[in-house]
Amino acid sequence: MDHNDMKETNKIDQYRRKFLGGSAVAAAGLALAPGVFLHTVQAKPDDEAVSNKNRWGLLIDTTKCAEGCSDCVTACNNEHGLREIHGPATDSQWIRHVTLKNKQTGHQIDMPMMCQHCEKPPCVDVCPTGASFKRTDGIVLVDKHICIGCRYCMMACPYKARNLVHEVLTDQLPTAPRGKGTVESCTLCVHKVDRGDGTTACAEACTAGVILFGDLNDKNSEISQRLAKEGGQQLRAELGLNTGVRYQGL
Amino acid sequence: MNTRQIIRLLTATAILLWSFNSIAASQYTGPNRDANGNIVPTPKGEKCVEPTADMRANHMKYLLHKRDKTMHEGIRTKQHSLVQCINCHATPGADGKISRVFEEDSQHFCSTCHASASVKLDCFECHADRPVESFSQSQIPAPNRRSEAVNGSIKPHVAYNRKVQ
Repeated sequence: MDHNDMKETNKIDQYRRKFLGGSAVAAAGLALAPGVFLHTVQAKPDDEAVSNKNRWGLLIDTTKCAEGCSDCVTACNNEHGLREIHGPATDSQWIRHVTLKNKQTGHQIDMPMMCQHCEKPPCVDVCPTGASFKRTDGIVLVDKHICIGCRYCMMACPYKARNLVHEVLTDQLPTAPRGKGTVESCTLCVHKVDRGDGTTACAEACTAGVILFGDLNDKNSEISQRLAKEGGQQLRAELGLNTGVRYQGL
Repeated sequence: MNTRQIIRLLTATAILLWSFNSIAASQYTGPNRDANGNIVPTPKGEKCVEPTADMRANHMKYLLHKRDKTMHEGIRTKQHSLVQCINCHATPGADGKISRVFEEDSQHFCSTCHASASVKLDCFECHADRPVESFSQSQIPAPNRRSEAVNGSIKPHVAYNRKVQ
C-alpha cells in the first residue's frame, strides 16, 4: 500500500468515525423517553439476561485509603459469609488491604486489592473445564458446579486474586454458595448487581469513599466521568488485560 | 380348639389389625408423608411451581437448567430457583427447628426422600439448606454500613482486626 492509499484509507476511516459517532448520538437521543436519564442505574428485569451493554467496574482512589482500615474487607467477609478458619495462610480473602512502602522515600500507598475483572482474563484462558468464565457484562466468575479445583487459574492470575476453599464449609449464605475444593474470588457482588443495588458491599462500607462502583460502558456514569476527568491506572497495564478495576494515586 | 379354629382366629385378628391400620392411616392428620412414608415438612404456600408428580420426576432437570441460566446469564427469576425451593420447603418441624440436610436422621424436605432413594445430595455442600431468615444475626450480612456510619452507630476504621464471626 503506497502513501496515497494510506491517506485515502485514513480519510474513509475519519468519515466512518464521524458518521458512526453522529448516528450513535442520534440513537441515544431517540432512546431517551421523557424523564428517563441514561445515567440512572436501572434494575434489570429478573428474566432478562445480562448483556455487554454494561461493563461493571471499580475506581479506587488510593489517596483516600487509610492505613490500618479494613472496613471493605470486613464488609466483603460479612456479605459473602467468609469466616476465619485457619488464619490468613489458607482462609479465603476476596479483598486484601495492601500497603506499599517505598523504602527510599518513605512514601506509602494503601489500597484494596481484589479480582481485577479483566476484559481478557488469563484465568479464563487456562481453565480446563470452562468453570472460570467472564459474564457478558464483564464480571469474571467461577462456575463452582464445574470447577474441579485444579488451581490453574490461581497460578495464571497476575494479581493473586483467587483462593481455593480447603475446608468443608457450613452455613454458607444463600446469596454466596461456596464449597470445599472449588476456587473462588471477588464476584463484584454479582447478586447485588443483578438485584439492581448499583453498588458493592465494599463500596458501601468504605466511609472514606475510596471505592466507586459503576458502569464503564455508560459515558454518563460517575465512574466514567471521573475516569475521563481524572484518569485511572490499571495494575500491570503492560499485560494488556484491560482490567475493570482502576486505581488512582499510584 | 382345633386347627381350623386357630386359623380362623388368626385370620380375623389379621383383618382387624389391617383395618385398624388403614383407618388410622386415612385419619392421620400429622406431618405430610411422601410416597415411602417419610415425614416431610409442610411447605409454605398453596402449591408448588409444577405439579407434584412432575417435580418428583424432574426437579433435578429444572434445577440444572435454572442453575446455568442464573450462573452465566444472571437470570434470577423465582421459578425453579433453588433458593425459592428452600424458602418454601425448609420449614420448622414439630420441635420448631428447621432440620438440616447433613444432620443425623434429617427430616429436611430434600434429605428424607434422597435418603430413602439412596441418591447422594450434593447441592447443600455449597448452597444454604434453610431460608436466610433462620440464620442468626451474626451470619447475616450487615445492611448498608455507610448509613450506619453516617448515623454514628459505627465509627470508620473500628473494624480493623475485628474477627468475623
